[in-house]
Amino acid sequence: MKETTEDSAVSHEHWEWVRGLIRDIDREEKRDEFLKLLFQWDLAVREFRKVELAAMILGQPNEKDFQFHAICLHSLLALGHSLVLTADGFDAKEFEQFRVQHAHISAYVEELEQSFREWHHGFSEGEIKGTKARIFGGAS
Amino acid sequence: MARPKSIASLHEAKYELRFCNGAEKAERLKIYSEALAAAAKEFGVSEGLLEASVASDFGVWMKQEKLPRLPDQNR
Repeated sequence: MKETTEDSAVSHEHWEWVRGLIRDIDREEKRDEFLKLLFQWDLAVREFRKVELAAMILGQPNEKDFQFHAICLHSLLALGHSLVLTADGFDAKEFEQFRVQHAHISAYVEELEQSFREWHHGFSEGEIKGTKARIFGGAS
Repeated sequence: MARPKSIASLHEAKYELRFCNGAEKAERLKIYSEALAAAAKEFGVSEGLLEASVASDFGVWMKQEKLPRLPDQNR
């Protein structure tokens, strides 16, 4: 153990100032990382939606389409939920700087959940057929 | 095909939700949820079962309405 003396060359305030500076840098890095991830995730969601539109909505999806759709949705949802959790750690002032609102991120995630419910549900073929008949008069 | 008005409204709400910009998402999601609840009530089924049952009709409706195919046109 090193020897210590009562008198220090720097004050306690100096140490606190440096600690504060490090905290600020760390915080800034976390913000940058969050924004970068949010931007990339948003881009991935947009690209996913384009492919989804072509394959699942306007096309005739096959089994592979369903599998890829589910895999992509799982990944986007995992990342989205993680971003919402990270977003909880930032305050309103920081969100003003981000030019995005926490509610927007949550809504994006909920929209993905909605897609998952539509295409990857646990309802039987009979339940779907029966409901379609009730809605469309058996013509769907 | 006979498509009830409530299902057409639901598709419209979903379309607006899907192709709106980020700042509008929360409000559009609320409108969609309300349309879904109303349609589920009308047909006496759960919201989840209704969503699953009309999912494939959304594309048919889009084609009939001649809506844009590229999602980023309106985002």
